[in-house]
Amino acid sequence: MFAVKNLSYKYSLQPVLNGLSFDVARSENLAVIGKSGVGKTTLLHLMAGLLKAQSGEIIFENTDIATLTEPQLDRFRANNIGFIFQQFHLIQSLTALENVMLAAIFSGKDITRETVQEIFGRLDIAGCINKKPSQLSIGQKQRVAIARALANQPKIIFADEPTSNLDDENAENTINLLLEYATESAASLVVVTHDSRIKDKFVNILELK
Amino acid sequence: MNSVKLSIKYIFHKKLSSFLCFALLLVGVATLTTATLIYKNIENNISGNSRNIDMVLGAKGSALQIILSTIYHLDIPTGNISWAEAQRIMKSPRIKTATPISLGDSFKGYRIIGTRNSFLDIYGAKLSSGALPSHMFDAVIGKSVAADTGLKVGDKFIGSHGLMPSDDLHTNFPYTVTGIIEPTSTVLDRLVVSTMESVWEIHSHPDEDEKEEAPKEKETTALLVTFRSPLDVINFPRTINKNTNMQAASPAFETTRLISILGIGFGTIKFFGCITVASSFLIIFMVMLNSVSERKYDIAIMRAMGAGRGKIFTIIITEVLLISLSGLIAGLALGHIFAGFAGALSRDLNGVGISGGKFFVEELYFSISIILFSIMAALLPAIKGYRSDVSKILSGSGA
Repeated sequence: MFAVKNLSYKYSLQPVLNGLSFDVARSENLAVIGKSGVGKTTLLHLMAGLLKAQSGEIIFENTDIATLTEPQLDRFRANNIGFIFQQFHLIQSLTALENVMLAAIFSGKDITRETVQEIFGRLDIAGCINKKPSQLSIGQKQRVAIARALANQPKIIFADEPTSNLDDENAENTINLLLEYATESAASLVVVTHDSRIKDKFVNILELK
Repeated sequence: MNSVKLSIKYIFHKKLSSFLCFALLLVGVATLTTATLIYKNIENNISGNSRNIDMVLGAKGSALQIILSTIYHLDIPTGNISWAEAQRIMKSPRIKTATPISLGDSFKGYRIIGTRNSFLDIYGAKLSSGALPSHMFDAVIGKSVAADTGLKVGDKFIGSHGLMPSDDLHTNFPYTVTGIIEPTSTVLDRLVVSTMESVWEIHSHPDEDEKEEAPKEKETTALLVTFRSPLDVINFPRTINKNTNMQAASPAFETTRLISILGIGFGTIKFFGCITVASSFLIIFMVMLNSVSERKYDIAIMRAMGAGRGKIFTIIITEVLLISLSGLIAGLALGHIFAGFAGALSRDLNGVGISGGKFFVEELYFSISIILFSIMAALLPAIKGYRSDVSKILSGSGA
């Protein structure tokens, strides 16, 4: 589904990615690990079209995303990608439900309250549906963030350091939930992390140096 | 959920600053609206009252006072002129119409005008019931007089001496209401119109205890004149002021002067309204700029979720437009309510009927300007949101 070929990127003079190539097949999971500053987040942003590749190709379903215009990239993200961020970054002015419904505004997909309620039920946070992020525990926020990433039924979920600020128990829970729901939704999961605790959960591991 | 709803969520998330922007705009718009309404009401009604009169001929004194007393019925007259002399002027071939009016008495604060029936033609007035005065002590009354006093056709009433309500009643000379005048939206609505003869009759028989002497010859207060030639509007008054002991006053000139004096006052009020509106835009600008910085992560996340730059731009502009539109609408409503109150308080001012019910094109103009200015205030914050570098924000390396 995703094919990265000979990808390079540098910030002014500092190269972070150098001739990187790999594939992510449909429903396949991948952990990208490496120390801070090796370009893990950069790689995610390149794959999501938030950054433009300087050399090399990123092919998504036979299209080099470098050839897409900005509005096409917006649609590409809205339709195919779910994001999970390190701090979860829920929008404070919206309730948990509204945070998830955002995906509906941007993707144009018909996401009903019932769909969200069902996802919340599966994630065991049905009671949080009308709460603001400030009223949620870390564990609940993380689940709302997962629900938000799943809401537009993405083909691939990008998770940027989803566990690095969590204790062992929450980290384990989060990665299990992510893997479980990615599999259940037939989506690929790409996690970038420096957190070695989650290494053994993945078959495919790409180590950046 | 749509993006308008999203803008509303953000407005309510920062309640205090949203409310501050709204309230400032509300106060500014209400000030502007009230000042505009009162001024336009006065301007319109004043011009309506003097529309068909080219010149007023009265006793020597202030020209403005002559106009105020005989056209707007606000001030007291400068005195009386000799009826014989007035008649001589009335016969001049240069004059198209000349309507004498005699003031002096009132009924419950409404002035009784002794005049000819041509007085009603000046205001294009018709009777809604009854007939024109044909005998001494017949009177027709304006709509407001009828509504306020409850007088009907056939009723009798007693005038009191002087233009203010007083106990000095002309008990021996009751008037009879013969007709009620259709509403004209002019000062006529608040007048009692009778015949010259009635007023002369009453004042030629002074009460025993009255010290005032009956005038030896017939007098009238003023002549309301229209000319055949527009040139005479300028020339005739000069002749009068030079060759007689009467004074000619031009309603058009004095009214313009009056409105320009009022205009300075209302201009100042409007200026303060504009300052308030302008400061509300400055605050909206600062609040939004700050808010866009505060929610850079929100914006980055929305972009990552597939929101286009245009969507972010629209959300921010919509947010400002919602605040300014609600401030504008509430301000307009409040302004009309204030003008209504001002109208209720100033009912004694004959003919300067101020009301909150009328809308003026000026309101449309400043409403459009306010919307344009609010878009301008939102523009820079919206561009800032539009330009957000999503990758940089999400990787935590700054804005």
